[in-house]
Amino acid sequence: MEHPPIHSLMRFMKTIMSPVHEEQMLQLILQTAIDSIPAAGAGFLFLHDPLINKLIIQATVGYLPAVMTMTRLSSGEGISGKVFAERMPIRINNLSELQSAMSNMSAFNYKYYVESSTQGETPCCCISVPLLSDNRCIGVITLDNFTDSQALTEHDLQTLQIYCDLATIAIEHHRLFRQVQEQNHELFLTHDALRQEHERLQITMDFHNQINNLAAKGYGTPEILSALYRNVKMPIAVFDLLLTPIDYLPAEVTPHLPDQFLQHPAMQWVQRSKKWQRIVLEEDNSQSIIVTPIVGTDRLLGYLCAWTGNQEVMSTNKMIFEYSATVLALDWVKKEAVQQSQMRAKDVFFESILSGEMNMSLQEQARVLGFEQEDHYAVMLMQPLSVTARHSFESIMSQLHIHYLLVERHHHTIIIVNIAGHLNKEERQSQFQLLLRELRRDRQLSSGIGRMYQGLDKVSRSYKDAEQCMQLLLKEGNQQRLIYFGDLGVIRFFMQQSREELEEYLNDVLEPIIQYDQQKKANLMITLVSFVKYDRNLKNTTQSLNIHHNTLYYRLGRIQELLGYSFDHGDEWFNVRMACQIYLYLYEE
Amino acid sequence: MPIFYPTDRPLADFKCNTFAIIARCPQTKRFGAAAASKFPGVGAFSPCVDPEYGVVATQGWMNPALGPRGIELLRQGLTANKVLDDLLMEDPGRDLRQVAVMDRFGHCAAFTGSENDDVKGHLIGDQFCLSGNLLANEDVLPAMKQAFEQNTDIELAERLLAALKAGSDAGGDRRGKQASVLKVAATPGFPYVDFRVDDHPEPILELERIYYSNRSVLIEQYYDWVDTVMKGIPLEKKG
Repeated sequence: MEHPPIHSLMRFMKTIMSPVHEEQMLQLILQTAIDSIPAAGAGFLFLHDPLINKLIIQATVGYLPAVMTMTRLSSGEGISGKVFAERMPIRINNLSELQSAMSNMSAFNYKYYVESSTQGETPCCCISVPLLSDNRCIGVITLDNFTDSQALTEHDLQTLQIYCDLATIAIEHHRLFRQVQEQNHELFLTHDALRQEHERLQITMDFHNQINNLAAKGYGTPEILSALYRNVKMPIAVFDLLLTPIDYLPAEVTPHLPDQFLQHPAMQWVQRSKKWQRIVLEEDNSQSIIVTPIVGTDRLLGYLCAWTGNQEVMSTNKMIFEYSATVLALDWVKKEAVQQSQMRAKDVFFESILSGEMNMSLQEQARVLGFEQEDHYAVMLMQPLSVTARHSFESIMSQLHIHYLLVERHHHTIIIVNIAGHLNKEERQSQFQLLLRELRRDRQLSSGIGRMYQGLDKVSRSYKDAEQCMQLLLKEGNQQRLIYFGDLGVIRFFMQQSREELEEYLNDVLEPIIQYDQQKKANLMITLVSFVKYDRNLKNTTQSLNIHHNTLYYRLGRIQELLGYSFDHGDEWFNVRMACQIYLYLYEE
Repeated sequence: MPIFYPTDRPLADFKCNTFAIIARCPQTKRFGAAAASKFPGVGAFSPCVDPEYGVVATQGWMNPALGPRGIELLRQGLTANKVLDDLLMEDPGRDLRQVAVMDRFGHCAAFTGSENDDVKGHLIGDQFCLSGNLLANEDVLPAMKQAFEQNTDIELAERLLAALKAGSDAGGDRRGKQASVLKVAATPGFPYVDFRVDDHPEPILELERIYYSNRSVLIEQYYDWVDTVMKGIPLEKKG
């Protein structure tokens, strides 16, 4: 075998090792091979496309490339297809053999071949060599001569084989290089995706640990909110069920929710599904609020809101909000449970106190609750307090620094007011009067208040006082909102008597007038009650009854005549007054 | 003159409850998906398959916009988890949806909204994800998983069909059968396996029939066809 000249090989090697794109490299390979074989005037470089299982022309010399690229040879089709199929080089030196080899070409491929040839319809001779790599044929190089049927020799074929071997290495090398580049790109993308996922996970995990630590140390809403704010760096707030703000950050940005926000369809959905929603604000659609419900065991407790503005909400934030809401819910439920437990304990303590029986254990409980035996106590009874009324009451007690115990019952609220034992009598009275004044001033509070006694064992007495005051408050027609037992005067004694007893006394003293009124449809009883009420002042009595003073004189005379009493006689006038007070007490409504 | 076909069917409630599979072939790296439902023309709504970036399947109380939007996000290079999060962030009705996303790496993320009807859930495996709601029983998804994992030596489209059949045999959509879809993507812009049965008493068997009947034309000549289209030449008739 003769070798191609060394300078030719060197040029070829230089070509295939040059850093060019694959298309250029393939064109250079073909051009160099043709240049190295003087008799070769034209040629093709085919590569096999495994997807379509066809030979595709990748480089041409001496043919119109635009047309040639349309050629797609099947295995065994034409000269190059035959070389590909058999993996053996061939040299064809006569026209009839050439035409015979090309006769099985498809009509399209033959048409493209003929249309693309610039030197003649068919060549006089050709050599074709497979590109073999690792027992695979990856393509074919075919060189043509259009002028001399004997031009391409065996030596040219061998030279082309050497070039083909080198070209195969170059092509495979190039393919491997491209594969590595693609894999590197994939690795880069994978690494980048992994990094992003890791960052997201890390943020979530970090936050998770922060919150766990806070929860473990018993921290509550402010600390949880603070940790959340540090992580999400956007305004956040916690609201109760009625959207009253409980806490928010940053402190200088007061949270603002749109009007009627609770009625917003998305909020309705949050309430129904107990799942978070992102709500785009109507007044500024570049702003949105992420509302995450704070859900207890079976009910909604409140809302965690975050103002996201224009910035993209990271998905980790969403998880962080959900986790924060869960921890807030746990904290709230825990506090609620503690409160309920305290309430139960207070309830038990309260019941024991009301029984009036003191023992060591009860005194110990009282000390825990801040109640000392030497302190003074008064009981207040109220209708069940609304949220605002309770807030108002707590505010009064806080301002006056008065310690108290509040127990909610289904039909009323009971409060034991504690006045410190170290105060002297004047200070005690002053503080208690101040409390009564403040309570009277507040238009939301309605209360019956018992007297103040020293010692826990007397609380039951104050409770009875307060109960009697409440009875009076609940009487129809009563205009008062607050009754202190100490202000009741003679009514205190009426309240201790049965109704029958009082009516009997009333009849003993005033029956003649009552009967006269019934028989004559007169107004003597009303006249007498007014006369008593205005402490025998004639002018005030006539004005209140809207009658002439002569009429009043006549009626008073008639009353004295019927009763057989004289109003100038002290004891008799006292009896009449007492009976009138009873009349007012029993029949005021 | 239009022809009116009588129907005794009740109005559909637009609960596109479905059982579906999304997957990637580890060898060919092709993405594919298949679904079946007692809902007409289920394939018109989902799945969305991109040959290079992944798959998004959405069902339940269907929001078909999630599919194209999900593909858009996948094309930005986002991972399945991130795409799913973004889709859910943007959809106020997220709890009504069931969404499965597969990214370019074959990783899956899935979400089954709490408002979907039982039996519901999803299963994530190695380069595949199964999801279903309003299923006849708890065995549907495991049956699909087993069928998909057993058939590793066949084409992705055939594995997807096998999974769909197994799901149907295990009970499928508890309301019955009506429609099915099978999609595998290979080249951007050139549909590869893209078959639908919109209304049929046996939609999965019909889908299988369509696939095998037309495989030689549409599947086996696919790349040949793509190549000729790219070159602007006609595809020669085989034989």
